[in-house]
Order: sequence, then C-alpha cells, then structure tokens
Amino acid sequence: MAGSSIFFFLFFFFFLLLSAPARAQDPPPPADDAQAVRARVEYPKLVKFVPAPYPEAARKEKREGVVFLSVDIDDTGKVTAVKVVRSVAPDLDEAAVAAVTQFEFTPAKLDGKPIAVTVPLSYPFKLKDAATGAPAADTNGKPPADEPPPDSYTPDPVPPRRDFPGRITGTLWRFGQRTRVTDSTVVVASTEELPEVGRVQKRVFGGDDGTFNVKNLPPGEYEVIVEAPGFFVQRKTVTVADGPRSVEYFLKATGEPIYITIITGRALAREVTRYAVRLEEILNIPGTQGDALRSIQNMPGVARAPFGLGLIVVRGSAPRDTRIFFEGFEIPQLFHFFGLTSVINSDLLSKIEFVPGNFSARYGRAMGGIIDVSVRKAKTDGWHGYLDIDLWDTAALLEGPVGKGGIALSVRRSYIDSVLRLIPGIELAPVYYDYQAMFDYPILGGDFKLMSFGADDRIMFLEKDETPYITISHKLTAQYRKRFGEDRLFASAGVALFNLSFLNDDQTFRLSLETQQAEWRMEYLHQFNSTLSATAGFDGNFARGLFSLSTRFGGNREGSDEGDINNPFGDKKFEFDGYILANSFFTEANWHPDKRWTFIPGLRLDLLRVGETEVAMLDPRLTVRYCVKPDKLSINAGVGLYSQEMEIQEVYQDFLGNPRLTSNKSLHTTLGTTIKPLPAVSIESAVFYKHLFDLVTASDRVLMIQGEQVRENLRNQGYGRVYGLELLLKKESDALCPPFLGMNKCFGWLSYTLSRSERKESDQIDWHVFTFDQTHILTAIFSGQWRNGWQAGFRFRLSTGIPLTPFIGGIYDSDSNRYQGIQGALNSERLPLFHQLDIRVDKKFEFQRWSLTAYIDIQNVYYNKATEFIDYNFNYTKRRTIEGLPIFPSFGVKGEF
Amino acid sequence: MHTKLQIAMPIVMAIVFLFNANCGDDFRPAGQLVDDEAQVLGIRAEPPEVGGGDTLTVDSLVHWPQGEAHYLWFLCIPTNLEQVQSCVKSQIGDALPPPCEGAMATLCTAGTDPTFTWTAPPIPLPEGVTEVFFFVQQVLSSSPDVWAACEKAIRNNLPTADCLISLKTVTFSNREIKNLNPLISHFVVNEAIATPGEAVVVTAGEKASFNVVIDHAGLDELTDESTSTNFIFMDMDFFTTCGTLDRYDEQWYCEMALDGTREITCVADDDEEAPNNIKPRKDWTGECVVHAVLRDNLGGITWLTQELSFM
Repeated sequence: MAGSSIFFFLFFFFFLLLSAPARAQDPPPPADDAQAVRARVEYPKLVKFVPAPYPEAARKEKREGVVFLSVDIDDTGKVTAVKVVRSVAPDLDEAAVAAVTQFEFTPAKLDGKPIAVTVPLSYPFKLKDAATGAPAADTNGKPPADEPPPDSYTPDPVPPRRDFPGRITGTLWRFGQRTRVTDSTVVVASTEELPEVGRVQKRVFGGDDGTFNVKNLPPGEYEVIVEAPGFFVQRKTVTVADGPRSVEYFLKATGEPIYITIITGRALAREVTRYAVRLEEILNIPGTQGDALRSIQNMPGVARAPFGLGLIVVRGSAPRDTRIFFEGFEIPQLFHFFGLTSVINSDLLSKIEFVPGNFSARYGRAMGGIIDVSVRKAKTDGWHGYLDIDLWDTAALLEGPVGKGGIALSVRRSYIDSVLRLIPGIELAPVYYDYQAMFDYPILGGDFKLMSFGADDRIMFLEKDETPYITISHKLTAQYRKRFGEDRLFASAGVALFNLSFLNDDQTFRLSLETQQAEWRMEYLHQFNSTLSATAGFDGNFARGLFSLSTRFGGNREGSDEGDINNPFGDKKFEFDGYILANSFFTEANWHPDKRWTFIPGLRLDLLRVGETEVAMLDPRLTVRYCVKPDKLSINAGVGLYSQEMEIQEVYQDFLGNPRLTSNKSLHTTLGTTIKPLPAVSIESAVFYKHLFDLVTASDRVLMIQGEQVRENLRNQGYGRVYGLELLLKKESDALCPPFLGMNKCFGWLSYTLSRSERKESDQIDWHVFTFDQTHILTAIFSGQWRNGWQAGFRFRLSTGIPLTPFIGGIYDSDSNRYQGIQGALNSERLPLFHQLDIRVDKKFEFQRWSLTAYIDIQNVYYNKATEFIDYNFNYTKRRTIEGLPIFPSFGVKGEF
Repeated sequence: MHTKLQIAMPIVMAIVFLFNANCGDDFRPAGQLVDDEAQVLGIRAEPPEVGGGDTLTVDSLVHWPQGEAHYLWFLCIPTNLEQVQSCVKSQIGDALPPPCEGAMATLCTAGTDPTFTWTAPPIPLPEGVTEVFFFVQQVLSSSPDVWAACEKAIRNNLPTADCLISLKTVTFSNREIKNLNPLISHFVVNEAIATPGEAVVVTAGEKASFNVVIDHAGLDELTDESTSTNFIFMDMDFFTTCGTLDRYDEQWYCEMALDGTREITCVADDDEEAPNNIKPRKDWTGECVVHAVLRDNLGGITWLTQELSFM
C-alpha cells in the first residue's frame, strides 16, 4: 500500500444481537430468534477502504497489535461514529479510528430496508519486517493454534494461469462444542514458489454451515489460515496433489466478547417497561444454580419471596396476579418445590421477557405482570447434548437434525431425597422430574413446532417411602408461524392436564384436583406502511377442574350432611366439578408518525364463563414513547385497564364461594425512561402507580336469597394501591471490566425498587400494607470471565422484611384440642431486613469434541440468619423466629458435546 | 387456571414449615403442664348430643396451679350462621347475658360454678334438618367476679393471662340414638393395671411407662347401626405436671369386626404401640399427675387422671 510499509489484515463479522433491540419491534409470539432475524438481514459491505498510516513512533518501537472497534453505520452506509472497544496504544488507536471513520459501506438492510447498525471491527497493526517467515510449525507439522492474527498477505492474490484439480475443503468446529463456526475467513497460501504459477494465495469466506472450499490449487504445500471472530487463528500446513484434500479445524474461542451487530433505529418494545435478559449472562448468576428462570427474581419490581420460594411477586401484586407464559401458553407452575429449580431446562430457552406492568393487549386476565419464556430451535448442525450432575438432580439433553428440522429431548430427575436421607431429623423430601421434547420443522415457508413438556413433583416420607403430595402436569402444544412479506402470522393450540393430590399419613384426609385444559391462540400482524402496523388476534382456553376434599374418620351419623361446612363433626366431603371457558379478542396498533413519537393503543375483550357465572372484561390500553435522542434517551408512558377473573372455586357457594362475583380490576400507569450512555450500558427507570378495585375479598355478611339465609363468603369490595420507583443499571457482557481483575469480559446489574403496596379489603378495614409489600429491594450482580476458562461472580440482595400479622392470643377449642389464634392488626409488623451474599465459581475444561464445566455455588456466604417466619407456641403466648437457609453450597459438573 | 397454584402453595408452605419446624428454640409442648401457667385441657358436655328436654351437664378439666379458678359459662345459639368463635362476641350486649333459665335467649349465662346443668328446651327442628349446633363458652379467671375482670376480653374475644376463654360445641338433634362420650377404662403403669382413683408408686429418678385402655362400652359410634362405617379414629392427648412424655398425643383406631362377632378392637397408631414413657424432671419426688383426654370425632370427650408417686 502506498505510503506505508505495513500490510493490514482487516476483518469484520456480523452476529445479530438476540436481545432487546433485535426483538423489540415485534415481541412474541413470532420468535425472533437469532437464525430467524439473521435470515432477514443483509449485512453492510465495505466499499471504500482507507489504510491507516503506521504511526512512526510505533514503527520505531516495533509496537504491534489489534485495535478492536465498534463502528456505527447509518442507513446510507456512512460511518457516523467509531469507538475503541479494546485499546492497543493511544497512537495506534487514533490511527485506526481516523482510518475507519473514512470507510464507506453499503447500507445494512432488514427485510430489504436500509437500517442503521453497529458493527464490530478490528484493525491490526503489524510491521511487515516482523512478518518475515511464517510461524514455525511444531514437531507434528502443525502450527500453534493460539496465535495472533497472521502477519501479512499479498494484497492481490496471483491468479492461477490455468485450471488445477487440486482443492482444499474443510469443516470448522468450535473446539469443545462441536458447533459449526460460521462467518470465517480462510486464506490458503503456498509456502513456496510453485512451478509455473509462482506464489499462490487465495481467500474464501466460510459458509453458514461451517464449511469452506478453496478450488483450483496447483499441487504443492499450502498454509491454511482460518480466522473467525471470537476464535484464535488456526494455521495448518496442507499438501495438495491432483485432487481434493479435506481438513477439519477445531477453533478455540478467545473468550473475547462476542462480536455482535446491534441493529439500531428500530421500533422499541410495546411496553413502557420490558426487561429482557440474555441467557448467556443469567445462566451463571450466583445463587440461581444455573437456572435462568430464577433470575427473574432479581429483576426490578420483583419482591423476594419468603424462604426463597418460587413465588413471583410483581409490583406489589399477589403471586396469582402474574401470568407466566411458556411459548405463549400459561404454565401452572414455574418451579419445582420450594423454588429449587424451574420446570423448564434453561438450556432450551431462547429468551425470557418480563413485563412488570402496562403490558400489551395481546395478554390479559392478569393484574400483575407478565413473564414470557420462549424456547430456541433445536440445533441442526449435528448431534449435541449434555449431562449435568449436581447435588440435587441430574439433567440430560440430546438434540440434533431430523430432515430439514431438528429435535430436542431433555429430562431431569432429582435425587435430593437420597441426599436428605443422610441428614438426621429430616422426615420429608421432595422428589421431582421434568421433561421437554420439541420438534421443529419448516413447512410451507413457515416454522412448525411441536412440543411436549411436563413435570412431576412429589413429597416423600423418607422412612416409609410414601408420597403424600403429588403434582403432575403434562402439556402438548403445536404452533406455526410464518411471514408474508412484512406481515406475520402466528397460530398455536395446546392441551394440558394438571393433577394434584394430597393424602395424609393416616389416609384420613385427601385432597385432589384434576384439571384438563385446551388452549388456543392466533394473531396476525399487518404492516400498513412504514409508520403503521397493527396486530389482531384471539386466544382462549377451556379448563375443567374436578376438585375433591374428603376426610375419613369413620363417624358420620344418620342425617349428617358431609357437605355441610357448618357441621364441625363427622366426615367431610366437598367436591366441585367446575370449568372456565374464556374467549378473548385483542387488537393493537403501532403508529410512529415521526422518528420521535410512537403510539401503541390496544384493546382487549375477554368473555368468560366461570362455572355458572359470566364475566365480560373490556380493557383499553395505551403506550406512548417519545425518543429524545435516538438510541440514547427515550421517555415512555403507559396507562391501561387490566382485569382478572375470579378464581374458579370462588364462584361455588358450596365451596365458600359466591356465584355473584365479577372480575378484579386494576388501572396501571407507568412513566419510564431508558438511557444508554454507552453501547453496553443502560439505565432504565420507571415510576408507577397501580389502582386496584373490585378485588374479591372475604365477606361475613349473610344474605337473604329466596327466603333463605346464605353466606356471602366473598364479595368484590376490596381496593388496593401500589406505587413506586424502579431503577435498573445494567452493563451487558463485554470487555469493559475493571482492569485490575484481568477479566476478558464481564457483566452486571444493579436493581433497586422502592415501592409501597396497600390493600383495603372492605369499608370496615383501614388501609394497610399488603402481605408481600417490600419497601426496598436491592440486587447487585456481577460476574466475569477470564481467558483460562474461569468464571466467578457474586449476587448481593437486600430487601425489607415482609409484613406479618401478629397473633395476640388464642382461644381454646375443646372440640379439636387446639387454640384458635386471634390476630392483631393486619400486617402491622414486619420481618427483619433481609440481606444475603451468594457467590459462584465456574471452571470450563475444553477438549476437542466436548467440554466439561465444574461449578460451585454458595448461597448466604457470610451466614446471615435471616428471619423468614414467626412461629407461635400452642396457645399463642410465646413466639420465636424461623430462620432461612444457612450457608448453602451447591456444586456440580456438566459435560457437553 | 389460577386454582392450581392457589391450592398448591399453601400445602407447599406447610411442608416448608414442617422442614423448618425444628429450628429455633423449642416451645413447651401443650402436654407439659407448668407451675406458672394455667391451662384448660378439655370441656365435656355429658351427653355431647342432646334432644329437646334432655339435661346436659358441662364440666372441664383445668390445670390451675396457683390460687383458685373462677368460672363463667355462656350458652350461645348461633342466629346468623355464626361460627363457634364469634357466637358470644357477636351477641353480647351491654350487661352480663341473662341466665339460661326460663325463656331461652340465644345467648345466656349458664353458671359460675365449675360445672353447670341445663335442660334443652323442646324446640322442633325444621323439616329435613336432623341436627343443629350450639356453643358453650367458658371464661376462667383468678378474680371472683369473672364478668368484671374479663368483660373486655369477652367483648373482644381476646383472652388474657388472667382471662382464659375456651369453647365447646354441643349437638342438638332429633336422633333416637345419640352420640355418647367415649370412656377410658384405666391406666396401665409399668405394665400393671392401675385402679382409677388410686395413686401408683413408681421409682424416683427412673422413667415410668404407661398405657391407656379404652372402654369399648363408650364406642357407640360402632355399636350404633345407623352409622355407615365400622371404624372410628379417636384422638388421645396426654398431659403431665412433673416432666416430659415421649408422646403427647396419639391417634387411636377402633374397629368392629363384621364377621358376626361384632368384636371391637382398638389400637394406637402403628408407631405408637410401645408404652408411653414419662420422664420426670430432675430430682423429682412426690406426686405427679398424668391426664389422658380422649376425643371421638363427633364432639365426644372424656378424661381420666392417674396419680403417680415418685419415691
């Protein structure tokens, strides 16, 4: 190159960021997983290259290195900003930035339309004199694998003068994982002057299937150099004769931040606040035992559940007010017993989205928040799997291609009971398993997915091997999604059963619930023009539940009614065969008249029949977004009505219910901002106010209905109000880490919620704090990786203790020989402040075709004796505190291929 | 369906509580009676089920270690589907309710002695109704004027250290054969039959073991052919003044053979067939009392007290 003795080796590669920006425009159901988005993206191509002059001082001092850059390219292909992600030296950084700023590209396109993007780019500085001679081959004839980028290449490869049959084909695998490496650059250079053609050098790009093919090579010895973002350069010497030569490369990851292309300037989420998490980050959050879904409990607005139970308490709402969707279907339970682990294998997930309030009209029948969990597609680049063994359970996963599609099977089985048997005094232990099976296949230009998943939880008496408590759930779903240009269709249907039974030790008390359920959903998104799109659809479910509660002491008398709740004596049997039929219709528009304003109005109508009670719920909603500075600062506001039907058993008079009930309602208002001071740093804040009304609460009134006294039992008479502030400071995984730690990438977040949740069950009761109210909730998480496979992190949590209602005395009931506790003022006390530190250390050992990860996860490192519960003596005259977990270690190993 | 979680979570919470129930400082079991705390161990209505014109006698088993206990009894008939706990509270007026004599009020004062008797008025039950329930409320105090001392506690339904409130349900029915209280035959102490009312001498400093024998004559639930089953579960609770017991409660299972012999057998739970052991407090000598209180599941109750002399 003129004016320079250097030769550069430049590469940039593109991966789409799977998280918020990529999926922001169109939240599920059409799962914008990486592959799907990728297929729609046309990447920018370099059309004008400007070489960076080698700084004279660096040349004299023989300083070399690769400057890693982040380049913003606008929708015309012009470079608008260049940032140094990893510095070499100020003078080299400056030269690289100055050169790259003058680059020109073809614009990136999404669905054919130019878009702005941010791409990673590395600019190497290598002195030509230092490049004399390729790195020496080792004694096996193989060059060292872990080397910096190659020194230099002839800028204009010499074309062969005639055709040769020789060629080199190869496949690129990720070392230790056997996944195919895409977006590679392969350079083949003869190691010496060849007869007739002289020196030969060719460069090709690897395919999406991880293969490459270099043709037309004269016989001779070649050095094959493989470059791929995120991997060490590999060199191999290959001798080519008159024919093809096949090679395999296993590329070791550098551990550098994953190269990503951030698509910017797209429409943002429909909701005011939507927290999305990247799975590669949250899988190793301390205290979660590698369970991605448990990370939800670290999000802003989510209160800590007592005992660490898997209850999700969102913005001061009851756990039952938040709906949890898995692939668009509600799941009856997210966690196995005690929140030990989730019922879904975290490795199958593609994303977790959490909307604490003001959610889209696409979802309804909930007054709290929404958690939407999606699964990825099965891998199709070969058979993969793993075996994960820890202290509590073992999980296995196997997945691979089937025709044009893929299949994945996952099973987990606990053996916590065997561990607990070793601890004296433990009589009960949980036993659980879960499974997921999925099959993806492209059909008629769309994606079809068939899924089955389920879980089985049992409590076992260790000495008797009896299981008094069992829950079983199974679900089968089918879904289809397809794009028609910019329009999208999603349709799904599923059937499920959920059974629960409880039988006491003497078999005198039996409780059972058997439910069957069918669900459906269909929606269509139509893009009218560049500023307006709309979604319309319907969903619904039919659920039938047979509930039975019976006692068997052998003492019913003539004339006794075992269904009479007022009869304190004799055997009891309560049953109801109830059902819910729900048909819901929704529509939502997305209108952004200019680059700053976005309006998202929505309307949802839910028509329900709960037992013999009919309910109609009409919920209008609106979200408005004002973009103050594109990609830097936006202000969002939302208001909407959110209705939730009563529980099924609440409408059955014989089951202490009231068939005259109607729905619970809440009005959500949120004002939020999103600030992105740096590409990988975001600050999200929200203030919210929620007004709840028509809440179903207990009533002791006795009504006269058709001349008979009837207990009212329940009534829509309760109120609630919740207000607060949420703050999330988040740093995504990248190389900007504290230098003294020596990490090559790290991530972390600081989440704080200040809130107050109050209830007023009736006009006779004063406002009081809600049972799950927590004034302060603080979570700090940090985790980082080193190049040698080590990873370590911590999680610190601090939260106000939950309220509790004290017992101030007890009345002796001679019929049962029990004291009936008399409660004091409702929620007038609180448990002490909770705080806990958890740490986690992982070490990954990589072998050519598989890898092994070992970890230890320690909860409550400094042993804070947190009070989780207040217990009373038999006559409520004394009380004591029940503490939560002591120092709680968990460790395991995971081998994957 | 939200139902699933709503039902499952309380059960899970209960199980979690069980896991942690042995954490923290232990409480004194209810069956371990102490010298500085009064306690009601049972209220008995004899018979537990009455019809119109039947006379009822009510007494109680009370541990009152210091001073003298004074009694105040109420009878309360629910008028508005009230439950046992709220019956008196919801009907109490400005003054002490009228006595339960003559014209029957729905809330009346049944007496101020350790026992009281009352004759049920001949009230016909509505057609199709076999039984109704009314409630006995006992208030105990060290003060001779219980009403004056405990009026606030009664109105608030909130007991205090000197105003103990206890409840008992009584069945009013038009059945010909009514439920009877169960009966305890005798104690077996150190494998020897103890004569009711007589103290048994045991060795000081050593454990004493005992069993209780149920009198099958009190098992009308099995002999009454109107019942639909040939078995019944009963609860036996133990109380002692001088130490600790291996078990403070047992569940008993009584069954009548259907082979024509109609023979009745009663056994405690499988795990509890072994004799119960009483371990006196260190250096305990002298009298010790063990109460056995037996309840059927229809409101019947009885008790038997056995005195032990540690010498």
